[in-house]
Amino acid sequence: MEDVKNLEEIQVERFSKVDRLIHWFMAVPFVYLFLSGLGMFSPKFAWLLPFLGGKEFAAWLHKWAGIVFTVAAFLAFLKWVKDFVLDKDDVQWLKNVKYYLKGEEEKLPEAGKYNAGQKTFGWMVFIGGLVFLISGIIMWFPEEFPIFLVRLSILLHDIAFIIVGAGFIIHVYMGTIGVPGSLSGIITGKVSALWAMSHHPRWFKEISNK
Amino acid sequence: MSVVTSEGTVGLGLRRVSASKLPAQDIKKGETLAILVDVSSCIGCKACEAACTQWHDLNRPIFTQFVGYQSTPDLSPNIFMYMKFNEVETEKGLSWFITKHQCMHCADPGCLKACPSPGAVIQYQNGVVDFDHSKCIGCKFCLSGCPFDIPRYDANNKPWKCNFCIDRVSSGLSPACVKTCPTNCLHFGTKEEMLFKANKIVESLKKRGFENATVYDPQGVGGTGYIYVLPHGDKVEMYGFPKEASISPLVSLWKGPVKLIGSIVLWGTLLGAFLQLILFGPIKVGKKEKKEG
Amino acid sequence: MAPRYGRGAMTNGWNDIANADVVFIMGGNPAENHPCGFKWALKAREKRGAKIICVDPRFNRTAAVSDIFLQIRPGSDLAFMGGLINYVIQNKKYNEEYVKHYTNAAYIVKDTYSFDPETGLFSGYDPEKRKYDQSLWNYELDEKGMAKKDMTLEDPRCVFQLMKKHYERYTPEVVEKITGVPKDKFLEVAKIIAETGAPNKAMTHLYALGWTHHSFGTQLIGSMAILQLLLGNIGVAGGGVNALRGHANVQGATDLACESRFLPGYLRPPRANQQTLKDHIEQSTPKAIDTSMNYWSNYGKFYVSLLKAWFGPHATQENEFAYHYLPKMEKLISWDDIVDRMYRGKLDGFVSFGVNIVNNTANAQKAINGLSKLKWMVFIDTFETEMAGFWKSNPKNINTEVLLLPSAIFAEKDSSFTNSGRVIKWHWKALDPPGDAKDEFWIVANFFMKLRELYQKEGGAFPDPILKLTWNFRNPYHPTAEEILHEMNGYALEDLTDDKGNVVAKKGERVPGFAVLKDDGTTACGMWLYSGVFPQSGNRAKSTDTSDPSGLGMYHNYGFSWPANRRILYNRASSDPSGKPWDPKRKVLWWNDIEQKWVGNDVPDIKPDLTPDYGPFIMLPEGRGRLFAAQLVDGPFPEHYEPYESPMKNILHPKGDGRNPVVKVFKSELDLLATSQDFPHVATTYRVVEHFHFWTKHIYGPSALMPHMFVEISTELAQELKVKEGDKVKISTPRGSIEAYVLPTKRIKPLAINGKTVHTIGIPIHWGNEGVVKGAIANLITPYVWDPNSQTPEFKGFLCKVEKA
Repeated sequence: MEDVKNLEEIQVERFSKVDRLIHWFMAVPFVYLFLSGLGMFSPKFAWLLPFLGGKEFAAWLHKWAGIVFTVAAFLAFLKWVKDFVLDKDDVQWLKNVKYYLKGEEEKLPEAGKYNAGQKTFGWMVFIGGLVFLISGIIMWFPEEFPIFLVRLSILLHDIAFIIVGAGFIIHVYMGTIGVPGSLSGIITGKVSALWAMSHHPRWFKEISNK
Repeated sequence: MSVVTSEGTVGLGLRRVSASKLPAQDIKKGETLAILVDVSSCIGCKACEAACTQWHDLNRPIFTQFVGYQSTPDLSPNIFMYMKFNEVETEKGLSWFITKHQCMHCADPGCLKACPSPGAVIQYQNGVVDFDHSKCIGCKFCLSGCPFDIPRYDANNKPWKCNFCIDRVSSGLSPACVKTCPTNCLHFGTKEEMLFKANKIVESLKKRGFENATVYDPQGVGGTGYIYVLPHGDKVEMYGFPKEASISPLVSLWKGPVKLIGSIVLWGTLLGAFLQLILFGPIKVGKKEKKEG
Repeated sequence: MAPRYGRGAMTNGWNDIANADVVFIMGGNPAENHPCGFKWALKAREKRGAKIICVDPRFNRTAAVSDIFLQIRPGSDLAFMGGLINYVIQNKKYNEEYVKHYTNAAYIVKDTYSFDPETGLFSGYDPEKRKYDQSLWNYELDEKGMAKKDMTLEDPRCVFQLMKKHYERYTPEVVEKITGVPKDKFLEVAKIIAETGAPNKAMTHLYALGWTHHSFGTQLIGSMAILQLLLGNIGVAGGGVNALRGHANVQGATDLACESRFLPGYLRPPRANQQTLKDHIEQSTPKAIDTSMNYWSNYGKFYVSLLKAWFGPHATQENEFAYHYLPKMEKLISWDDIVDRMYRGKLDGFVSFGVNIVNNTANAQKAINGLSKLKWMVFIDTFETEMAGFWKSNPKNINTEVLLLPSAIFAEKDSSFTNSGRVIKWHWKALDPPGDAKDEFWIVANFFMKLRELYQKEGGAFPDPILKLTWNFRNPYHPTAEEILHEMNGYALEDLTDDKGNVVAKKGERVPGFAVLKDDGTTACGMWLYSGVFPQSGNRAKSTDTSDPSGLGMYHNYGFSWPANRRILYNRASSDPSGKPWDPKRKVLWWNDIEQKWVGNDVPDIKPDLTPDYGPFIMLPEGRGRLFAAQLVDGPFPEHYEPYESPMKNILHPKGDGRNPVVKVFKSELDLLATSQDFPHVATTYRVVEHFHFWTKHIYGPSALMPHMFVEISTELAQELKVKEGDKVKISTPRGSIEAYVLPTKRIKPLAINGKTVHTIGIPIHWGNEGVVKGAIANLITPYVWDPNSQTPEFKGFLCKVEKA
């Protein structure tokens, strides 16, 4: 075993260029969708809209950003669906998520490349994305659909927004200050070996073996 | 379409504004206004349609499609009202149900309720419901909120509908359709007066053998600014109206509980993350590894 | 109506409809065609609980708000009316006093009058000339020249008994067989109508072109005139036979001699056999044959005043007031003859002033071909209509030189309208006419000035009538409407005094009314009937005071109603023979015993001090309404004849032709008639409220409200033809065929006519090949058949065939 110091210095590749491209292809429109959606969902956040190009522009771009996001989310789905399959360990992990929050990861089953939380968020995005897409299209063209469906769509869009929005907040928090050292993974693609060993030991073992 | 914006440039008070708290109610007086349509004396001459087109200076299309006596298959951004014609066999023989259709100016307007943009839908103190395009974001939620399927959108996604000729009304004139009606089947005044008149007409209709005559003033939306005397009150749908008009429970759901839950969940998540940070700190690397190391 | 009451106009005004107990609408569709006036019918229901009854070939907009609707076969109306008359007589529902004293019921008719129900012919028919000898139908007169009467109404030769016998045949069963109206429905309506025979009940009747557009239209209106006389509904508030005129000013056009048989104010043009003014006046002035005011006895005063207005100082005692400046007519040339002559190449030129004969003449192809044979046509109109562009169908072969003169629309000039209710109302110019358009005053004046200039320069066969015509306008090239109204009202040429020697009008002043007109050349009056509209005190057409002290909707200070601002014609009949109002709640006029004169809520339509024994129908020599009118060319009693093209034989006349025997028959290669074997469907044409004739299709707004030509057929026929709403159908007659969208409707039902199913086809007429919206010209398929009294074409009830296009 190398020295801790060494482990900290050793960089391992966590995300390939394609991975990163897909992530940001998805993330950028999502941020816009989240903020503009928030502005439209709640009058209290209507002040956000001027920063997003003005309320009419925001409402317009929200729709097109949604299309871009959908495409990206579809690519992401193709790319990561296998990785996001939840196993027994993941269920165990989710049940004991409090240890994770307390920083006592050792009390949890060893995570692979993605821990159960990340996988769950992935599924939120996939399923939520589908709900957003279908309900969004119906809301985009309300005159073309039975009014009941339009009203239901608005409801589902809102609910999906609440769920995915909450996931998004956690995702951003964890990806930045919540788990230091994570952010570089999705920017440069590299994380320290120590980070990998600590948070994703099983994955670390896999790549070490290689 | 609004001639008067929510800033109240001609001094019209506001009763309600979309996505906003209620404005103070007792600063400006304003009796609720209403138009009474006495269907029993309407001949379907469409003078109201012509007047509406003219007063609002609408660029009305000529339809290539043949739709019988109706001048238009539907409302559109440049058709705020139209007459529906329906041949109905009743117990009194054949009847021709001719009804004027436009925004009903609900006391509790679904469009206003559904609108997410502050001030885009306004209700004046006199009960008239109007759109302020400068505040509209083009989301079309007002259509979902409307129990009568009224708003129609232009190429910029701005909604259009009857605004009760608010410009005329606020200057003391009657709405264009009422002004032009040749048989006086359209009446204009305060809601109270119109209800009184309507009930009198219903009484006389009952005497003439229309036992089911009724006043259409759907309470599901708190009553409407357009009220109708329907000689065949048992056949409300045949006149083209919903029997029970009210704002869809789905709309109420997303404007009410879902909004609340959403706020709790989202703020809760943010708070949770913050608590995690200050109580346990970031999830750092290598406790185990460090020990091992 | 004129032959039965003395005047052809709406007896009561629009506003008076609100006083009715029953509003009977047949032969008209006021909700559709007179929506503003129709409010008074609704008001009658609101105010008085009046019943609105609508009888029509289709359930129309009027029916939509009526209490009772009956669907009738187009062209069978007279059978329905005969049934009503019979019902009223048989059930003794008539107002007996009224009938005895205010109608000619008691008059004895000469025994040369007879009627043969087998053939449907009255006595005196000459099949060669297709004419009756009307002199056989006269009354018996006593040695003083007065009509013989039987006040018991029991003499078999009295009008009442003849009438009773005539209408016996119109039983409810016969009515059902001819009209398709079920017997029980007919009786339900007959009962309601007959109730208005009570002195305190009134029924108003509203009709329009639905009744005039028949080969027996005049008789049809006459049948209602008879019914209303029987029920005592003429002269009373809320009563009357009310002709609803389709244009804002069609009454005005009629009053001002738009028909060739009249001069202004229903004076007559000289005939070839009237070579002196004296002859003309004598022959045109009737002699009273009963206690009648016989107002036409003043004919000479009106005539001379008219000539004085036209020729001023050139009309003198010596030259018979320039009587000879007027052409003497050999023969009356009416509309049907004009188009026929044009078609036969007998006209060189044609000046069209606001008419569109391509759209509005029956068998329009005949009119189009006729126009093609002209050398030139001057066309004056607001829009470039089908008539203006008739040559477009065949520009290479049509050599007619067409000159278009754009004219101003009503809002672009000051002028007056005379509405259905005879109210003359001023309207003000709102804006200038666009482009080169000029108002008609300018156009006519410039025509005239140019003509006069040419006559002055070049002389001519007979220049006097043009050179000596009075043309006293400030700007002779552009007279104002008020200058013309001044001339129409009339003015004094000398100081005028009444019987007591008081001056009623100084020389040069306008006269206060037609009562002061004289036949000695001291008065000039261009239109005696309107005299009083513009007295010296000012233009009463401009008055807009809506005060109504009587509460009967008279509005005497709103406009000016001819004659003499009377709002209800024959209003003396609103009181019983002793002069007491029939209905104390709707008092119009009554006899004041103390003052010995007529007083009341309206201007008396009788000389105020004429005792109550004088008849109320002052324009007739009888002074009484005519149940029996020998003046009509096709019979003194209205008889049901089938339309010229009918789906059935006339079941009333087993041995006759069944059609009006005096209808003028035109025999060109285009005058084709249909038979029911090849053309089984009965068509009727009409208008819809969105459009005004062939005009509004040139305007975007109304066009958008009703853009497409369509026809209405029953849902049953639609199933048979396998067509649905929005499909196109072809409607053909021997004259031609047109295509239109089809609107299958429950509002027209197939009728059972004498055991046979008959389908009615409804054809709105507003479209053509010019304008914002285009469609077929309906009149390409209508027959060239005309009412012999009024020369009105038979647009209602002709045969056609409908098939899927």
